Amino acid sequence: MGEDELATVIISEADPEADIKTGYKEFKVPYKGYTVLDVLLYIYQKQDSGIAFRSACGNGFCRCCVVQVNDKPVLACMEPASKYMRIEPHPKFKVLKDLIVDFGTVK
Amino acid sequence: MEEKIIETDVLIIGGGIAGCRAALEVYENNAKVIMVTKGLFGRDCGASWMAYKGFQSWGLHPQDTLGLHVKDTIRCGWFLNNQENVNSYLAHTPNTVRELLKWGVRFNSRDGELLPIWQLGQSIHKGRSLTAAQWPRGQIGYNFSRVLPHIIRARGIYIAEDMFIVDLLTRESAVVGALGINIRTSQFTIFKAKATILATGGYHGIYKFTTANPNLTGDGQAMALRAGVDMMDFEFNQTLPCAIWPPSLAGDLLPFLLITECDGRMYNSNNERFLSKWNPKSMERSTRAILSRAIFHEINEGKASPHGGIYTSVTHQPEHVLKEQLKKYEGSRIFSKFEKTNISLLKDNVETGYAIHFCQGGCSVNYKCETDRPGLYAIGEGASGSNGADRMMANSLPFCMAMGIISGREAANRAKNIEMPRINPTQVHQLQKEALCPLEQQDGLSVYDVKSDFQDIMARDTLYGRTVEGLNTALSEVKHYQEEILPRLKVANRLQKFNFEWISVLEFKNIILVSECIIRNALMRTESRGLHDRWDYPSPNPDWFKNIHLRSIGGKLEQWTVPVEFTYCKPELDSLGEPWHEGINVKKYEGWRAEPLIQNKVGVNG
Repeated sequence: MGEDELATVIISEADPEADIKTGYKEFKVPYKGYTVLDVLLYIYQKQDSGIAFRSACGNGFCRCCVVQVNDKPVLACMEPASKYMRIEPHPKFKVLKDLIVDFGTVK
Repeated sequence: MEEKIIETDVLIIGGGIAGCRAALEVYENNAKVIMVTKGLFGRDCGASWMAYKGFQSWGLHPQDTLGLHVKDTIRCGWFLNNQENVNSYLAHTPNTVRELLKWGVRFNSRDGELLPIWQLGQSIHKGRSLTAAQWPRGQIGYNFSRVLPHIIRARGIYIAEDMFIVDLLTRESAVVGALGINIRTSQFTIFKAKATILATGGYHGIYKFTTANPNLTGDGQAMALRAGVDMMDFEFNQTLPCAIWPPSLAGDLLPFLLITECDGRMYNSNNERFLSKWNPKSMERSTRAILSRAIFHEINEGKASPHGGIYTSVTHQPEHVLKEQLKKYEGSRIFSKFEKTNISLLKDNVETGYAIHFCQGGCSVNYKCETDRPGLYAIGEGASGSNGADRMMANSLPFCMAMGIISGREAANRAKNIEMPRINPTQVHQLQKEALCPLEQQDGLSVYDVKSDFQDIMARDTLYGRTVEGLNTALSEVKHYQEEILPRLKVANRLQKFNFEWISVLEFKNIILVSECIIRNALMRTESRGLHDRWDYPSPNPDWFKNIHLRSIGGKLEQWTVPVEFTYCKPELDSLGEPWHEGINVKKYEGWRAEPLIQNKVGVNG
């Protein structure tokens, strides 16, 4: 697989309770024809299962996988993946772990 | 590891609409209730919130009676339904519709009159399927998800979210609660309950493509099996055409919509409309079982598209007609995802395969939703018997609601009449030890790679065109996975919070167990009927008006058959051979929408 077929994905890492400072992890993954959620699942299943994010229906119904990609809040399962992505938790809610937020607690 | 103990009258496992309705009913009967959900309540719990089209109810028209609805359901189920259950559940539907309207679910209506549509199998000409307001943009499941979870929250019912239930706790023959893992903290939680309701949904995760939630991994079925509950009907699993390429669209049911709503056509790679071989009368308007089976066999005969599917196309229509037809989907969820891909429906074909849609296998229950274990009730997709060999369109939601009402009432009554049972500490200890096993293994096989291989085997051998050889191969694979693969699965991840890898390993165990049930039942049923397609026994057999039951005894599955009781309607001769509901009432698109009904005012107060 050529270098140009791989996307650079940077994922935010955080655990507020354990007081780990927010950091980022970087990955190289195929992205053509994939959604952001497909990319996250690819990383989780093949490269590093140490990142936490939610995935469920994969079809835009359940709204669990909401994240922020390059400063834009999106549903990961509905958003086509792009060449460079910085993925962070949705800014409106309190972070529980990495990309997982508590929808009940608005900041 | 620390553990927490929670006591309640009624424990409900699962948070789809069946679970929600049961919780409300228990609450209204003044018993203490707790709901446990694997994901986020009201969001990723099960498949109900993803339901697309219809909610079927008799009584919207004076000529439409409970008897007719029951009869239609049983005919579509190829006479394998538990007729008493069908009658007892469907009796609740008109009241349920009133209730839903009162709560704020908006069905398609005009001037206060509900406008039902006709769907396959309905013998009433004017139709009895209620759709969401603004359908097709508005989906019925989404409508429900805006209403039911809020009502549950407003009642102050305690919901344990992100809680994976490992197993049911038993004492003698009774079910006395469940053991869960809190995914947020990786700690065990023990639930003690006088009655437990299983509302865990299906086992869609066994197959790669699903129109429902892939997080449904047959957990309820597997824990009931391990508790020795009488189960049945695992051989019937419904699929429907779905997109398979590009990966971002995999599992999307757009091709099925194109077929049913936009006069879509299906072609193989030789550009033949292959449905002429399968059902020349109705072509693409056949039942979902026939469409999926036809796709399977075309692919098997080597007439597949580059990514292993067939093509769905609407390009035979003039552009302005097509644009008009597609206009009504603008802004819908399914469509918006499609618009972001590089496929244009005006010019391109959509590569189509089939995705699992509904699972019929589950606990064998009576008309009160009781299983054969005291204290355990099963509802929704986790219960079997009401759908028979094929599920009638738009029948799953009314069944879920009715079963919720019935089981909630029964469970609350039971709770009032018994003392809080004691749990067995040895069993809890043993279950915790087993659940922690995979965590000790940091090197080994990745559950995701293994699962993907297993899904391929299941899709190849156990969906359509089932043969003795194929099923036996799959069965020996299952044995291999049980003995060789499962003990070697690793959890590389060391997270204390949200360790989904660990949960995936536990889910995969359930997947393997339920798969064995599917294969064993499919091997035993030597005929083809409804959703069960045996290549070596291609037609229905009158000797098989029986349900195949299963029970796990000492870790081994035992099977037996029970003949169906024809309490309300008997099979007719024309129900053998071509299914009767294939030929009739298949109309052009224009005729599908029913006339507005005059006497169907289902008022808020009844």
